[in-house]
Amino acid sequence: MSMALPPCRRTKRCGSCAPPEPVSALLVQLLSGLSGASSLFLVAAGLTVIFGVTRVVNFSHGSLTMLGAYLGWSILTRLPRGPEYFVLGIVLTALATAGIGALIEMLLLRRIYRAPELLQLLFTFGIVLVVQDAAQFLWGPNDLPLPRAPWLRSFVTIAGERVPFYDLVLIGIGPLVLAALWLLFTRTRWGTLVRAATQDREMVAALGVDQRRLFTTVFALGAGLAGMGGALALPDASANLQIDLNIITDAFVVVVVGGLGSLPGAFLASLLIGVLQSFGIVLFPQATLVLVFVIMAAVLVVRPNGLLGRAPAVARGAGQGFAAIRPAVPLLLRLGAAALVLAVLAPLAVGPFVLSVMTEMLIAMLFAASLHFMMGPGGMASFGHAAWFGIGAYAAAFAVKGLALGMGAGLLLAPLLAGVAAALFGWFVVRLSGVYLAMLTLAFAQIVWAAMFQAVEITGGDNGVLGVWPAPWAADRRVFYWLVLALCVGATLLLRRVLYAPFGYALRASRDSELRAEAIGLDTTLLRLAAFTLAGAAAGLAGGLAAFSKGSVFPGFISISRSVDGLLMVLLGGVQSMAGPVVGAVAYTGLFDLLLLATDQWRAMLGLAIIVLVLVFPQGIAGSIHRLWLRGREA
Amino acid sequence: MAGLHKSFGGVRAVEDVSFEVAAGEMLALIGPNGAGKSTCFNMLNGQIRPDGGSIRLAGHDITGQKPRRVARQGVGRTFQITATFASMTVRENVQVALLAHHRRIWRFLRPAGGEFRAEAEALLERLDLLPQAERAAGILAYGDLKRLELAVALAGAPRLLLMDEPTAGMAPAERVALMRLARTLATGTGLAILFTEHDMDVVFGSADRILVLNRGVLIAAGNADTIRADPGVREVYLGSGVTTGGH
Repeated sequence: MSMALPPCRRTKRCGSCAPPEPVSALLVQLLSGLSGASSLFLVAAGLTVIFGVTRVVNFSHGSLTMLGAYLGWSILTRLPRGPEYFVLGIVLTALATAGIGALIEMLLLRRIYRAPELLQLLFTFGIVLVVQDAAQFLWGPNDLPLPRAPWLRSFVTIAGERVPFYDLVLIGIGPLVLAALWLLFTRTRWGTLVRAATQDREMVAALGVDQRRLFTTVFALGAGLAGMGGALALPDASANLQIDLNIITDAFVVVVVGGLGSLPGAFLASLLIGVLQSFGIVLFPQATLVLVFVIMAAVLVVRPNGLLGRAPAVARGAGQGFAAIRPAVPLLLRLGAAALVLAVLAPLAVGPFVLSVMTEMLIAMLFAASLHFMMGPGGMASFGHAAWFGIGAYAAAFAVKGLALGMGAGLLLAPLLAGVAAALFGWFVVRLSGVYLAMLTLAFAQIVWAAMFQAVEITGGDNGVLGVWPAPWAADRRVFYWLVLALCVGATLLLRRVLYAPFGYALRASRDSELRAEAIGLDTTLLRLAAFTLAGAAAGLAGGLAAFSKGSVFPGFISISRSVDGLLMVLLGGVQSMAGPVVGAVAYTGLFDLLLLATDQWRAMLGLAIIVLVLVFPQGIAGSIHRLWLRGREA
Repeated sequence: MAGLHKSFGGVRAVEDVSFEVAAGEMLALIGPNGAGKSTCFNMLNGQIRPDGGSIRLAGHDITGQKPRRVARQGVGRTFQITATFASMTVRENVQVALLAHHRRIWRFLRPAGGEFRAEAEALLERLDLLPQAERAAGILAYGDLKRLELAVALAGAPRLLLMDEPTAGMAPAERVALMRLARTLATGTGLAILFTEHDMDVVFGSADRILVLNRGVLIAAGNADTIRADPGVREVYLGSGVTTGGH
């Protein structure tokens, strides 16, 4: 059911250049890195400003960048080719995306400022999906390179090296924009209000400032910056449909490394990341993204709030009411038992297609249950849960194809490797909370995705690993289904049991009040790390089973959309009970397969469905129903 | 604790504060807002690190240790703004504290519902919370929540109990009952209690000794009569516009 977004490759022209002399090569590489940093900074600056004021992590910021690239392409190709028209085109593009941003804010985002942040993230991801299909509809599926005018192709000679003139232009734009933003925020009344709102939104509202206008203008500014960043990158790359998710990952990394809400931090971090990527492409072409992660990890170890960031004002879980997690009522237990009996007997009655859908549902169930374990009782909402699923899948494939082991070993290695990876990465993550955690998990999943994509020798890159078939004894579709049933149901029940064991109590206690938990002697960091590892291992098992079920593994197993699938399943079913993710997974898988059969525009449909769901149920479906139920009981 | 210091930026929150609490003693720490009471508390249980000075618990140096280590050595506390586990029932709140105290947290398969159930219920009985045992902590009335927090703190069988405004938000009858319970615990089990309080009736009515803090400095110490007669204390309280509640 993976939505397998089209594979994307970072387009950087430097990788294929003929290698010049070493010292000056460094200079060229450095300048190229700095120029790439500028457009990244514009995008990240927009993201960080919007977050500072509205507290919404705007996933669709990448879509605005992509729209900037496409709009920029449409505008620039219609204008004469002189530099003055280029500037005009860029300004027009920025204004156009600012307008689109203002519209999005007024029509959509304005309605969800009070929703839980997780739903806000999901909501903006809905916008991403809609914009993707819209862009494909308007501009077609092919990359659109900008025909380069002569001045864009010109070179400047520095220290005997030919440096592209446009690189120098870009290098200049970064600090210029930073200075302009600084002036805007420190020297104007509007800027003062924005800074005040960043510090204390309620206070600014209490002082009688028109919040709606402030939010709309801030969002427009951020969107304009994103669009400008997208258009400025055009001469070096092209307008394509992969920009949105690529740039949002980089921008998240920049914002996290720089410190959430800090403009100078974003500037420093984008320089760091830009230069690093530029050198990484020459030094470790296979591991550019892993390098980015290593730097990010190093920065966060030394400065947990980023280079220039401050500690987030709101602590984990504060101000959020968590419903008590209760064991299922007897009726639900009986229903569950009946469903299990039906599931065991199903292969005797249904055909191969239905059986494969049911296999998929079971795997989705374990995946969703593992995410729920982290999100619900653990209080850690991951936006990159597909990482563990994918690592499990690749581990299983590697065991079979690389080490020539059997399916049993593959299914053992899958949760093991995923668990180890989750423990390593969790060490950084469990100290964070809320949006920081969401962004970092997302960035990590993207990095794992890219690592699998880049390590062609081991993973086959985009071609994937083929021929990962079950052992002969489980080759029969029905036997394999029963195996999946046993493992998925078993693992899900095990997670449930852990939840009601002392460990589960302590985990929920740590989520409810870290302060109180530490005051009674609980090691909240270690508890969260253990939960993270456990959830990672369970997702890894699901991934391993998926590998044998499909017979192949692709980077798409780790796509953002698979992570979002999981989130949708959990939110659809409800965070409050262990039955939630199970019901959610089954319902979602069924709906999704129907949607795939029914339409080509499944992205837009799914995106619209998410947007409508969040607008109608701003407290989550289960939460809203729960409320209705309470109201009904009191009446 | 001896010679304790803490500064925030350039502001000296606590300066050279030294005192002792004996087993079975109820010691009140009072002073106007911003005097450094909460800072003292937070240093005692490891929430913040002192810039100087030392804290010893029964001869052991616990200066600068993290809250959970301090807790494991027998220091329980309640917070000015109550901190409990909102999604868990009253009974589960106490059970998880008991599990933590007995180091039984790292068990993954055994259902926790039956663990230390009797102990938890006995503790709730003492605090008059047993009828509410199965309610979620998040929906309790404020006074009940305060007592639940105390139950959670007591579940760790502390040698020293820190109570930050234990009776704030309670009805007068509840206040009396709570302080009486504290007294029973102190004399019965030898528990040392250090508490802050704004209600002077509670302070003068229940503390064995009183410490008065002003602008981070200890300005007076002694029993209720000594403190009432102390001219420095009068100046601080009357000067800052706070009445001493009918005394």
